Amino acid sequence: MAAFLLRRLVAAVPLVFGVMVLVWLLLEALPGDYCDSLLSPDLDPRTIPAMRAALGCDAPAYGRFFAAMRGVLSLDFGTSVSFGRPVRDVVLDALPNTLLLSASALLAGQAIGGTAGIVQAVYHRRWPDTALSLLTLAFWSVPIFWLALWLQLGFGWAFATSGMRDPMSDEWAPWARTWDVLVHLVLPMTTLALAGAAGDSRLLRGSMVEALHQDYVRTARAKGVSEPSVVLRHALPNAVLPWIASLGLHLPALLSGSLIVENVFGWPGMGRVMAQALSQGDAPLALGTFFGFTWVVALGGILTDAAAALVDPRIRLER
Amino acid sequence: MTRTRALDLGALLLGAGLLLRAAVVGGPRLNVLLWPGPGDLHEAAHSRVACFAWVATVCLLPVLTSRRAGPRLALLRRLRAHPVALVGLHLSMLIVLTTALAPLLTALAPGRTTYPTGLPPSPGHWFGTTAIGTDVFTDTLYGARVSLLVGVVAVAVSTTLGTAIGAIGGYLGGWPSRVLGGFTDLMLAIPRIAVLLLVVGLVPMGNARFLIVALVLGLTGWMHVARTVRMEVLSVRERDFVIAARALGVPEARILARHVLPNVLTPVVIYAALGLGGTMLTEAALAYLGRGASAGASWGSLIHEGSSRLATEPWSAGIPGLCLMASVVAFNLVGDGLRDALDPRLRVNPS
Repeated sequence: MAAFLLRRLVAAVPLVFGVMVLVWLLLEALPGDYCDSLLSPDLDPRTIPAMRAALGCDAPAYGRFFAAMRGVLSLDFGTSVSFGRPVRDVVLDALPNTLLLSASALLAGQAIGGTAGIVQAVYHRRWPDTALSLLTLAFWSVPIFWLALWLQLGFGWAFATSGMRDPMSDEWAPWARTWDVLVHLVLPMTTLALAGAAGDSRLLRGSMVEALHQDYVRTARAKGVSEPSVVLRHALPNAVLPWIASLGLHLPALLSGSLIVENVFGWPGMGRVMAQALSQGDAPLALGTFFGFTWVVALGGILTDAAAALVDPRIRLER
Repeated sequence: MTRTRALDLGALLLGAGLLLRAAVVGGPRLNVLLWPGPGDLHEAAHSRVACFAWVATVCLLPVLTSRRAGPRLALLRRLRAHPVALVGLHLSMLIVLTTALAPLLTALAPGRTTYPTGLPPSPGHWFGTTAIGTDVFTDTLYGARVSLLVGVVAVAVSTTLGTAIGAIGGYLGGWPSRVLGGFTDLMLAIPRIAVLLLVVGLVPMGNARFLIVALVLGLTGWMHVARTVRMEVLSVRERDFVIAARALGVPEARILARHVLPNVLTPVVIYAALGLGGTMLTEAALAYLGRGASAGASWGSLIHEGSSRLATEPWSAGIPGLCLMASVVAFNLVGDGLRDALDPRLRVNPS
């Protein structure tokens, strides 16, 4: 297992590096450069060329490319223009918030979607199945930011609708601060979870229906095992595998969704930082956030494969 | 079969209602649809095509799919046996028809701000008006054109590109396969919406903007198709008829185009239907983040504009959102139906 994790980690490095090259090329195509956004036009026009040269903006393209890639390798992306702080600090501040949102949404979504899928399989082709099918189809097709807006409107009286902390919360007791974050987390998490749950329930419904028609389920029923036990202990463990294997595929979609939801709810995560970096032409920050995003996706994929192998002894990691 | 008949009848009635509405609003302009004058050709051409295509399909479907029809229509018959898919099919055609008939269904102009502000839905303004005085019904009708067109162009690009990359990579093997596979994985590792935000920021505002946005959406959405096609090609290229063709001396490019590709197109067709809805949602999200296909025209930007007044005038963001959701539901239903009809084993899960 350790060897597998290590090999996959090493294999992810060129992937992330490739993404960095691609993103650098796209950023290079943006009009204006880092120095344009950094140096205020109010500065003495005579000092600008010297400052540009000192910042390395006038270097030839390959020079700037190698400087940027050296930054990627040393994990030092320079200073963000729009935040006025080192990119690394900005990204490291935002990353845990995004992980908190995405991970809780993933768990909640799996719980909702999983329950729906099991209920659908148990009541296959009867009215609960039909009703839940229509419901999941609706949530599968809903524009996520639109759902977020309605939840904001409908549940704003009960939960916080913007940001992650109360501005006054620094002076509160630790438990009160934790509670405060949870109150802010509920709505963005629910939005992401509802949108994600739809796909999961479709997947689990299919494999559960298949599992419930297997011989071992008939045997279990014949020997008098209670129906909940048949469903949860005999069929579910065998049906859950494609579901777990699909988690890694969901991750990019989940992160894309969180990028949108963060902007609706003002959640201070990577999505907001990235939107700000891109709208203000903050190239170092954009490079840094893409770096963080890509690693999260890559690590998520590796962890999912490892989890699938832990659940199913038939899967051998050594390929 | 009675349920299918009922669905056909319902669709026919809805279509008749639409045409009646077009006759009332369009008045003399309805003539444009049937006998266009020299100046009206542009507007009338696609309205007429869409209208006739829909009426013809509704009328001919029962005939074509009756038991006496030939085996070529077996797919259509299987699709029709699926009431859910049929609902989706009719719903999507209805959306296309409404879109095409937009100028005949409303006498008002899209984007014009001269109507009373903040009116709730009323006989004069079916879906109300916004705070800046645009008519929501009209804007939604015309917004459908942008959303649908962007979706269709993007899906055309992504399925073509995905099929080409997947097929070439899967068929050739060796280093081209490794390079193309690696590139596919690379593109899959980046969150799509982030790349779109980055790239779409480069596109200048203007008339061609929505085409470029559609192109970019296509260029970032081909990876799932490529993966699926690649897997299919890997299995098809070992089949006997391919080996036989090669033994006969058929050129490799011809084997790929004439013998392999037709056998892997099933998942591509399914993906195209399922991907259309997803692409429209992505375009709407981009528009919501202020980077949409055009300024204030697509459903996404209508939602964006209405979102700040959701509590006081829910119709201005609610109606375009509902329409977007209904269209995506319709396309997903068609995709699900196609999947069930063509290949019950296959589970495509585009994200």
